[in-house]
Amino acid sequence: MSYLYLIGSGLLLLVFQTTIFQESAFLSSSFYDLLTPFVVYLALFRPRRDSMVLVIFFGLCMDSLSGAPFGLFLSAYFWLFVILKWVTQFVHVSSTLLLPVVVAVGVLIENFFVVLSLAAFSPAVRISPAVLHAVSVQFVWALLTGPFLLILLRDTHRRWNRWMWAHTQRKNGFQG
Amino acid sequence: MLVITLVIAVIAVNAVILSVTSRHRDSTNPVGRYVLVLIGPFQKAVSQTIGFFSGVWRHYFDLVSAAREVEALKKALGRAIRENSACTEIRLSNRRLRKMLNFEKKITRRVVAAEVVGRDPSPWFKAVIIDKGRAEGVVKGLPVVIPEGIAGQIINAAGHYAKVLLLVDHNSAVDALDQRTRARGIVKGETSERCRFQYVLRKRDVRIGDTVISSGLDGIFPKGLRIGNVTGIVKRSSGIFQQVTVTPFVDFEKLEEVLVLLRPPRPAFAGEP
Repeated sequence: MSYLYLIGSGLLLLVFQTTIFQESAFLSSSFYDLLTPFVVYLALFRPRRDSMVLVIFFGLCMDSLSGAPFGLFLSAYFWLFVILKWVTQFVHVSSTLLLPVVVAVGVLIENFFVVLSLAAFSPAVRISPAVLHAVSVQFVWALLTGPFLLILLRDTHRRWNRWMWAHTQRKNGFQG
Repeated sequence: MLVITLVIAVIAVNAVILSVTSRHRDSTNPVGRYVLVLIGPFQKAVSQTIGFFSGVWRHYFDLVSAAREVEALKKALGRAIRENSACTEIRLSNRRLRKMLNFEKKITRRVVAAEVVGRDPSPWFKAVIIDKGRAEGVVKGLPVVIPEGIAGQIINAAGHYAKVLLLVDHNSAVDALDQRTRARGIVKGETSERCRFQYVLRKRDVRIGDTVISSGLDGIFPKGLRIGNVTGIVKRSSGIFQQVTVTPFVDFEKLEEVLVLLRPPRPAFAGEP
């Protein structure tokens, strides 16, 4: 049932950022990829095996909807997930102190991967001041809004689990 | 007997008094004045209180009905605003579609009109999703245009949806010509809303304001489709090419409807069924 919630919320974020978000020129050009906090959430709060399937699924979705070379977002999300999972072995990143930073770092890692891949595989693309400016604007946005998105995902997921549990209990005839 | 006499006497006195007082109605009655002074204020207070409460009651109902009326009027206004907005949207859409229709008449190839339903989720790439796909004959490699000029090309197509790589994406390239001087080169997208007209020989005369069109040599875009105009030229002291910047005619932020140019039917050769 957690899968249902995670797939639903991921798709919601994806549809949101490909339609409503794109209506605003400012948001579409300056805001970060909304699936980055989603991948960060999976890395911090969900088990590795379950999350990996979702990371691959949403990476494929992004690659299908974007003009990016196929596999770019899949790889970016995969490495972001792996790095964060590895870091969580040493640092308690889900603590209140580090939560504001972790999404911004996630956005940096993803952008680093995407921009570096572009620069490596497309000779026309150079790491120009405009690219660095775009990345820094995204970083600031992630710093300001990322933790709220993470908390929203965590809280709605908890509510969903509670609701599903109560629903199952009711269905099985148990009275709470 | 005494009682009867007394009653008769009282009636008589009463009749006399009434008769006298009815004849002298203008004479002032001091008792009446005192009573007026005494009772008047109370009467005034009571009647004012009644007036106040009846006013409140009436106003309350008036207010309630006014509030209901305001609510109904607000709803009607909201509906009118929505209808007005829908009409404006329809008018604009009608204008765009008419323009598209006129443009379609000029194109010799078969076309499919499509609506943009989604945009690239990443700011690094420029692609859109349209609501026409394989079912409507849209396949990979077909050119996508609007009356203003080239919009992009299909890079992936599914049942009823297709992905269009926009002209401004850095993976996009169109073989192009300067319409005035016929100088040839390749228009490539950049990350910003501009393109670069590459491989134009330094000796070619290209000026700011020149229109750049498709050459038709890439096998994707038909010859003569408008791309944009030249907005910047850099001629370095060395090198065989000049750096030409082209600003597309298409406003990619406002792209809503597009036309996909379908492949012309394959000519039937003699002996073929």
